[in-house]
Amino acid sequence: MLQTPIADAAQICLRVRGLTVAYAEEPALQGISLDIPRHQVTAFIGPSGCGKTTLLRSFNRMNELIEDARTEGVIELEGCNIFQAGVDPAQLRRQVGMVFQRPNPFPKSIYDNVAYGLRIQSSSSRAANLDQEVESALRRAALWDEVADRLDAPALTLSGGQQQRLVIARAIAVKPAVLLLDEPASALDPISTLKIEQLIHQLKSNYTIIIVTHNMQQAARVSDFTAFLNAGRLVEYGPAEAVFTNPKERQTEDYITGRRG
Amino acid sequence: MRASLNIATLPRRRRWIDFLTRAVMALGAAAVAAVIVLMLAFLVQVAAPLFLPAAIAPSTELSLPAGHAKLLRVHPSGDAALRVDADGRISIFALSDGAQLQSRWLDATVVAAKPVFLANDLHAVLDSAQQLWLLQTVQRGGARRPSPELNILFGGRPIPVGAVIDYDLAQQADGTLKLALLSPTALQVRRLPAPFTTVAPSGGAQSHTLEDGAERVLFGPGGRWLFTLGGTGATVWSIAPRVGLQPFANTPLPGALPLHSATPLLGRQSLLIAGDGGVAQWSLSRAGGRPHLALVRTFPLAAAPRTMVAERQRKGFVVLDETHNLHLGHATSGRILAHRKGTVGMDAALALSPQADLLLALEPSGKLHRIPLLNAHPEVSWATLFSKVQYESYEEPAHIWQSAAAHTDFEPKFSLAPLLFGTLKAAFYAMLFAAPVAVMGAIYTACFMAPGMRRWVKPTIEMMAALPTVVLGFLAGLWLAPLIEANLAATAALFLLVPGGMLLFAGLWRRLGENFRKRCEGWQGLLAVAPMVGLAAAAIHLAPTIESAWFGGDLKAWLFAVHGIDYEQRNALVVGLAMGVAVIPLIFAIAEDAIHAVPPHLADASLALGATRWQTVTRVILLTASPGIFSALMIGLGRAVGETMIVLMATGNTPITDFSIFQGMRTLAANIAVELPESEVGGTHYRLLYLTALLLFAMTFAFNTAGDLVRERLRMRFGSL
Amino acid sequence: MRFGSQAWIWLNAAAVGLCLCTLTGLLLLIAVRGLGHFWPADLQLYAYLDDAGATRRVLGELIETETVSRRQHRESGTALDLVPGDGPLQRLVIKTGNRRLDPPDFAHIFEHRIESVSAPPDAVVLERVEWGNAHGEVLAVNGAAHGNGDRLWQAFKQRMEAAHRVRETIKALAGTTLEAAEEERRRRLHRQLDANSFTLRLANGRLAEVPFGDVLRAWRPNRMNLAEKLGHYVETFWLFLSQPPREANAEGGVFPAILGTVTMVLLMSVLVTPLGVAAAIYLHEYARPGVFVRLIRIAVNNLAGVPSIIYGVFGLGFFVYLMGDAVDQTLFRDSLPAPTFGAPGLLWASLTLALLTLPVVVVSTEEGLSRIPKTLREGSLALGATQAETLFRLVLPAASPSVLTGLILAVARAAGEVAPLMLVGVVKLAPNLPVDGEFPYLHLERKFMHLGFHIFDLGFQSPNVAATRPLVYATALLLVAVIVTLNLTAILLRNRLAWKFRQLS
Repeated sequence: MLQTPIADAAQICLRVRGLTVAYAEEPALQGISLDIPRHQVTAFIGPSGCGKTTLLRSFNRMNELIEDARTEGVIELEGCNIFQAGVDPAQLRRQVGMVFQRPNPFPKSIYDNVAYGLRIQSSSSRAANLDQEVESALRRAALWDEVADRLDAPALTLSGGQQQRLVIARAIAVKPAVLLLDEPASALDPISTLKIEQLIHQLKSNYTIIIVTHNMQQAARVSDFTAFLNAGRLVEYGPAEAVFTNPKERQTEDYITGRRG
Repeated sequence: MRASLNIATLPRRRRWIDFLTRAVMALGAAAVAAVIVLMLAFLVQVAAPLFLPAAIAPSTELSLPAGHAKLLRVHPSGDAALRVDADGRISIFALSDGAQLQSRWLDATVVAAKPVFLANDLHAVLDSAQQLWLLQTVQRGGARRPSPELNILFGGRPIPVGAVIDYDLAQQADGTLKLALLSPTALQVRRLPAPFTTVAPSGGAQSHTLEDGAERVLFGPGGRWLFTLGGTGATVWSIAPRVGLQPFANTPLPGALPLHSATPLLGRQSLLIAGDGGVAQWSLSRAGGRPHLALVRTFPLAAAPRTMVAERQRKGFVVLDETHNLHLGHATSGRILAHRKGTVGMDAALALSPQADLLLALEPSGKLHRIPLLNAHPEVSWATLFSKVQYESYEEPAHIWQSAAAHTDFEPKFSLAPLLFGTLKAAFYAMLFAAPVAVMGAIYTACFMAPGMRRWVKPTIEMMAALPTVVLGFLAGLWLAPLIEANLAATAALFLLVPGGMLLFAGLWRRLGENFRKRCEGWQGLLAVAPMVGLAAAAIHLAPTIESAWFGGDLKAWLFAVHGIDYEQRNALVVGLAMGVAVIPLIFAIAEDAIHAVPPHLADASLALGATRWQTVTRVILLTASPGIFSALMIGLGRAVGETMIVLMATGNTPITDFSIFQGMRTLAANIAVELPESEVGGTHYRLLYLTALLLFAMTFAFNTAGDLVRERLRMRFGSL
Repeated sequence: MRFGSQAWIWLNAAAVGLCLCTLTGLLLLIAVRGLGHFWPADLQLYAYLDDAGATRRVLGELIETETVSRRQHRESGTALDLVPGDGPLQRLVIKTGNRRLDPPDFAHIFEHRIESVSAPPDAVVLERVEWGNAHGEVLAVNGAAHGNGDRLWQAFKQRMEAAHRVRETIKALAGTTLEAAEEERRRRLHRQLDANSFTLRLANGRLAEVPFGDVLRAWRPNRMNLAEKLGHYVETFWLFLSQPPREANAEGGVFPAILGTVTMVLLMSVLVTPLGVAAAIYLHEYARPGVFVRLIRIAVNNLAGVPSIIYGVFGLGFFVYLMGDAVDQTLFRDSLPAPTFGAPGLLWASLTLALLTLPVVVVSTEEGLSRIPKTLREGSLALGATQAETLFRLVLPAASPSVLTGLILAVARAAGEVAPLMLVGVVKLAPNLPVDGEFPYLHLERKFMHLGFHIFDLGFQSPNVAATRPLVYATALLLVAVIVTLNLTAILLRNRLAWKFRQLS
């Protein structure tokens, strides 16, 4: 079943067709087909274990790191199938950044964390340029003001919320096309969460953002489009407002209104 | 818009580095796996030839001048042979092509010819004119093109000997010669001067009448004994200078008389005597006080033996029987190793190369068979390695390890039993001490110890594992061993008094106030030191009193006098304690981990049911952790079995099979450390040491794998809990 | 609580106490005996009755007091037993030195037979080039008495220093070419050394004329104050560390053994680290569970359990005889049949110990890798890093302290291991150091000395075990100190790491 709320094909950033993922013969996703619009925020919601994180990790082929994961189907990034033979996962991931549930800064300085991806991409280190890019990434992640005077401090000395924004800065420093956020605020306090949500709003103009969240209010607040997954299937997908105010499916409504999940 | 995102091509350099890294890491891992495989394979490869079956290879033939050879003997260089023919011709020929290198004629025909015992390159030839010629083959021509040369000693003049049936010569340490002459009625021993020096023989001729007559005379070990064979049997004679020529007991030789053939084995402790049913090994025995020849073992053959020849560096021999079959045998291992069917004429003269890798058979027709022998390690069979073997000059079969001796003609004794026994004995005593201490310590540390104390006790005991074994061994050998010897009673008192006293202390402890006891909970490990030191002091203080009251003032002397227990300073007790110290931390660490890993909810459940803490520990925690404790003990045992330096330094390293705690032992590992540097590469001894290494490897492998498997299962069980 | 439980708990506690006592006791024993050796103990003059009833005098250091039972005393057949009662007797062991001058070098004196003990202030200890220490009093230098004691001592000291300078000159000459003039000069110097002598009065009253050339150091312990003794102690200890052994290892220092151990261990580290780390990385970062991984794990587990002597056997057969011979056949054909690499030596010893310590490095590295949270690796991969880049830029730097811990443990293990080395390259006395100023500076084929083997050799194969025993303790102390320090460092490093990673995840 293909659900697409996007009329204009030119607006599509990611196109998913018949995606099935199984872990050790245990299906996690079954026949997912959907389109993700460019420069919008798309949220995946659903009960635990519904496959939303698996779907998210399919976009940058992170599932391959799991021992016995098996993937079928097609995902096209800007028209190019990411599963096709010539595609290199490392190069794909450079275009599809990802932020994880728990902040995972590297045990390095703040500066080195942000510069990490940049250094990998460019063989020769252009120091001046690097400084600029780090600053710009930190600014875009709304962290610059807080850390400008201690770029050499270990990243682990930052607070949880700052760490998560650092990780976002790290991800956007390499200028990806897509940013995947896997419950980016679930380990944070309400104030930090708010900051992250504001950040998502700001970033949306430059990046296609996909966010997985448990938190219905958050999904309603930040997303333009929302997909509801249940038991490995895509139940409903549409503009966020429509999904939250007027769900078409009974399952969606049950979940949103808290009757189950 | 962003229609062309590059997700396809990774820069070549990055791709290559990624690929290369992966390959290098995989290579490293493969190398680690290869190391152990290589190790095992190499040990096997070195040890395996020990068990290759011996073989007599097909012969190649040469044509030599015809003649009945009375003596055929390969020169020590291995490339030429001496031949003495009945018609009086003496010649040396090359083994490669049969070319005659030298030849000369005696004036008379030859009756007999034999090598001189204990001499290098001397041969005695008896001619029909009752004269004895002494021949020598000397190496000439330098190292580049060596060629043996023939010399007749004593200025080319023969020694008249009169009418003799048989004769034998032996060279003494000072170079002089002894000549034994057997006539129908008497046995005579004469001295001859040293062939190349002016050393004069000491003592004149001795002689003794023979009542029963004899057919053969042979010098025995070291030229200090004589054997006569024939008549009614075999007689051993002593030729000590003061006593004179004296016969000892006469032994009948059933089935061997009249004598077909007799050949002395290397060292002449034993004679091979051919009988109807095969060959028998008779050995000089001093059992019962009177030296005599005793039957050691027989080598049954299908056909009667005709000619025999013994190896020059080992206790091996070759027999040619009446059906033209060749048999290759070895005395110590008691086996006929190989046979070959009828290639050689019955009347052929036999000779073996010095290394016994080539057999020569010369038929009267002049046909020379050169027969390669593949027989590198005849001494070793499963029976000689593990069963009792009757060795020369031993009263009964025994397990003995003796790989080398001062003289070259000794019989190597390769029984692994004493070494295996020693290894297990050392491990046993070490475990006897280490197992209870380590396991009990682990129980306390895991179940009762205060976390604050546990935090530093674990690394401290870990530190104990780091003590170099050479230091432990040195302390055991040079400090502990004399200390225990001087204070045996105190040591015994320590072992009895300290555990007993601790129980008493526990009883008294119960009477202390509840509050105080509560406060000490978890720190007993440290508190126990005080009563232990007190008890130890008491034990040491009391020991002399106890010793003088019950053991006559000296426990060691009492043990010997009353129980016949011998005390060696560096004994199993010392080894057990020292190796215990080495093994305790290993067992402790694994056992403690296992006990500590038992999920607390199991213990909680038991406690909730009203069990005391100790009941909970024994019935729930220990039961659950028992596989882990077993695994710890196995791994400790593996370590104890393979430990080298401690055993090397804390025992006398005598390979005995005595289980007494007051005696030492020699272990497989220590034996390798002592003997391997001195053994000849590729020799039997060398390969045997590799076999023992393999055995040790297998033992520790078994213990470790048993431990690992059990631990793995434990882990799975706790994973599911 | 019932008696049974309580008793068991106490017994178990006693087991822990026993372990702690044993470790502390052993360390103390080694420390006290090893450190005591360098202390300039006072010299005491003992006058005592010997077995014949005559008075004898010895001058020496008290080593220990033994207790001898009456029975042993009776059995030893000494006639003169004047003490009533049946308690044990005390016997003093005194190191009198003076081998060759007034043997034996140890005296055993029953306490009850001692008539007088005094500490002659001018008693001097001479450290001789040969035959160990000598004790006595200096009476004259070159036959002249030089007035009072202090002036005599000054004169003696001056001569000692002159002799020392001559010896240094000779040592400097030793390396140069043996030209006739040089040879002549050396001979002259030696004559000079022997020309000056002093008169030593032994405790038994005999006089001995000792050339200055025979004496390395001299001191008067009874005149030294605490500071001087401490200074002397430090100097002696330094000489022990920095000097080569003399007199079949029975005297002098352990420098070659230290250097040999360090060189071997360093070479081993260079060999074992890449291999062990690569294997651990493959197992933890790359391999998917399967037969291969299981095999390697079994291999690593068993390598750790294989007795060290087996490594020696393998090293001797495979490295020395097989590979060494092959190397000789291809590279050192000229010097055959004398083996170059075909004999035990430094390279093969290091390789053998590298195999021996491989599991330590693998296990420790793997432990370090497993402590790095998976999310870190994912974070790196998600940024478009390849696995190799993740490894080199993130994982390895984070795991490097663990690698270091493993390496330290491996080094500690290798430094204490003796059994395999006895087969593959260690000797009691190496003619040359493995590292010297001669090209190629590091001599891989040379045999070398090793602290652990030095202990074994000194303690068990020395002709005079009683005299070398303090030296064994000192060497053991050195080895134990190194190993305990290494292990402590590893433990501390690991604890800090554990703390750090708790923060990370």
